[in-house]
Amino acid sequence: MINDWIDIYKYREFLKNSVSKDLKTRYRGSVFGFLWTFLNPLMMLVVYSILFSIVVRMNVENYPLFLFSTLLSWNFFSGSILGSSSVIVGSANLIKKIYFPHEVLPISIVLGGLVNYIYGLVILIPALCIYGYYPNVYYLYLPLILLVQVILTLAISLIVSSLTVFFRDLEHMLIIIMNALFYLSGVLFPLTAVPEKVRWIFSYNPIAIMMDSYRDVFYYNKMPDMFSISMLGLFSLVLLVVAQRIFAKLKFRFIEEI
Amino acid sequence: MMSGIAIKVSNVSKKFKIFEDKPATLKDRIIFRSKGVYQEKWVLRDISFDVPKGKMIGLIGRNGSGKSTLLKILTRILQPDKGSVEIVGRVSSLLELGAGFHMDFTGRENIYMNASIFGLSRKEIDGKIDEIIRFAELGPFIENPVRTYSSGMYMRLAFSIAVHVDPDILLIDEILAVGDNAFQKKCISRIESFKSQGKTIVFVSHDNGVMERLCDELYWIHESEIVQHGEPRKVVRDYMDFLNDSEERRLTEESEIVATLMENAEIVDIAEKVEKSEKTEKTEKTEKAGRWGNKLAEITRVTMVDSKGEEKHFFDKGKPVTIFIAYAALKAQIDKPVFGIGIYKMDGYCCYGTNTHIDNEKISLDNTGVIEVSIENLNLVAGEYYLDVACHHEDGTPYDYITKALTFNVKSYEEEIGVAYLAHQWVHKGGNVNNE
Repeated sequence: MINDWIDIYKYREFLKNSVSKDLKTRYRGSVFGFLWTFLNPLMMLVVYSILFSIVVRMNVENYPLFLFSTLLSWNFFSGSILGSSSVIVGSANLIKKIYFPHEVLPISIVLGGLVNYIYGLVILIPALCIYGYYPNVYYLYLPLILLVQVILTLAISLIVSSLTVFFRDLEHMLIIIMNALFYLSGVLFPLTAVPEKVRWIFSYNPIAIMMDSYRDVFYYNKMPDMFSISMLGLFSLVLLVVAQRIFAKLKFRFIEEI
Repeated sequence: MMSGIAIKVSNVSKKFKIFEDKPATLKDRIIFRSKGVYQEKWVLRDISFDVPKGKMIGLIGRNGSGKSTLLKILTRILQPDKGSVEIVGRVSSLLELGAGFHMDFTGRENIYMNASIFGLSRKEIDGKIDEIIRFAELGPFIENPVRTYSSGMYMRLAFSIAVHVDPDILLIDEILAVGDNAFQKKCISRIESFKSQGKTIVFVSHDNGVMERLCDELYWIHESEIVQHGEPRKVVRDYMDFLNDSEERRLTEESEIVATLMENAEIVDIAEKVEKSEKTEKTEKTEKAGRWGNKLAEITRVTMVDSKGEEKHFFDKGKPVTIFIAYAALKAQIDKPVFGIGIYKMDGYCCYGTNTHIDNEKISLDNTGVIEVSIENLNLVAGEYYLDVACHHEDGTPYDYITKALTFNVKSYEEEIGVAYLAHQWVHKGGNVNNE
């Protein structure tokens, strides 16, 4: 198992190149090109601001920022999972011709998402400042929360990417699952808006815990729940180990299935 | 692993599933509970060998024998079902040149991308990039997107990257089949320089000459198994003997089928002849392509046998051969008959031709008989030939002339060129020879 990780580490240059290839080619040919990386979250913010200040009224102060402080990380999570689900099948050409640790493919998707998220902060943080939510000492917890999210996302991505090779339906099922999960993770509304009876769903939902932590830092400007974060971190690490085992078991059969 | 061994292959077996119908969706799997209908085919069975560091080995065998699968297992693209492969050192493979190129990226960007798939760090690539570009002979095109490249440029770039990875072990699959002559020469000389640098190489090619010249040891794989290995010259010879034998069998089977067909055809012919006896007489005389003559004497059968008297399609260079020409003739109407033979290359080039008149052989025919031409040494270079036989009057009026009465092959281990073998020997006299 350690050997697998060493092998992946040896291919870090390829990993780096894959990530930068994805970022470079995503907007290739468009007029704004790389600028879209920033334009995308900016436009999203503008749309939500207009929508929720004029069309729909939410009972939350500065709702667009409430939403936006978690929406970026949600997009990072769901984009990575959905991207990973098709990455092995989509790279059939490469897998059949050259050896490399296949883990690199989902990992590069997740890291690409991470880079995009960090670019998104360039829009989010100034927007928060405009409304008076200034960066503060709790921002120091951000790297930790982000690390936990990366580990968790990576673990799920590894599982999803390897399973999809054998059950192609998973790719489509995931779109539905992600959609449902979006509403069950408290991205859209505060926990107080949820009836007591079903609130437990949110307490045990790792994604909801993560979203709360981001919101604590960005929106409420308070200390995130360190106990929950630590437990989630531990859970994610274990899941990552399991995920890698599953992936390693399945990857030898990829070539016959794609 | 023992020291001094670069590649150790132990009892490797690999099977492929050949699916007839493959359920790929969850629904299919759950509802039908089937894994699809498939047949298992072992493409490699119990393969074991070691490659010592710095040696070059070659894999030969017919298409589909499992050579490429074995190479893919060595590169770790495929996993063996049984057995194990141990490899010491960095492996670079020339299996699929240019796999992983991104069409929209420039040549330079693709060098970084592609070299990193081989496991190179950015620093290493930085150090080599100029050499890679120079070797690929791309000049200023290196800054253009790869999609604008000609296939030659594409191949040169891919090859250049693959050989600059600075591998300890190089796996090469039939790269000589692509590219022009100049490129092939470049490949070969690069392989030679790798060899002299003490790299370990596994090489697959159908060019037996190159294999024999470059490899230290050859493995002959036939139907998923190693049937022979050892000194290249010997393995190549046995392999070629085997190929010729199986070709011989194929041709014999073919000619048997043709013979049965002809027999059947004759029966039909007779039936037809009875029906319309008058018309047939004229049609019979129309000359078929490749055969003409007034048929006063008819060549009924032509065979070619080796020194053991066996009828064959393959003959060893320089060995005795006898041609038998059986005929049936209207003895009374024939006078001054001449029999002739001609041996041609498949492109129609006449290698040798003679007849009984030229050779001053007087022949008088019976109603039936056999003319025998004994050739003491079949001194033709290896290749495919055909034989014309003829029977005609001394003044040239043809009784029966058959072109391509049969085709045959001459086999040889030497790679001489031309038409005929001229017995020769080389003598070298050094600088001490007097110039008097």
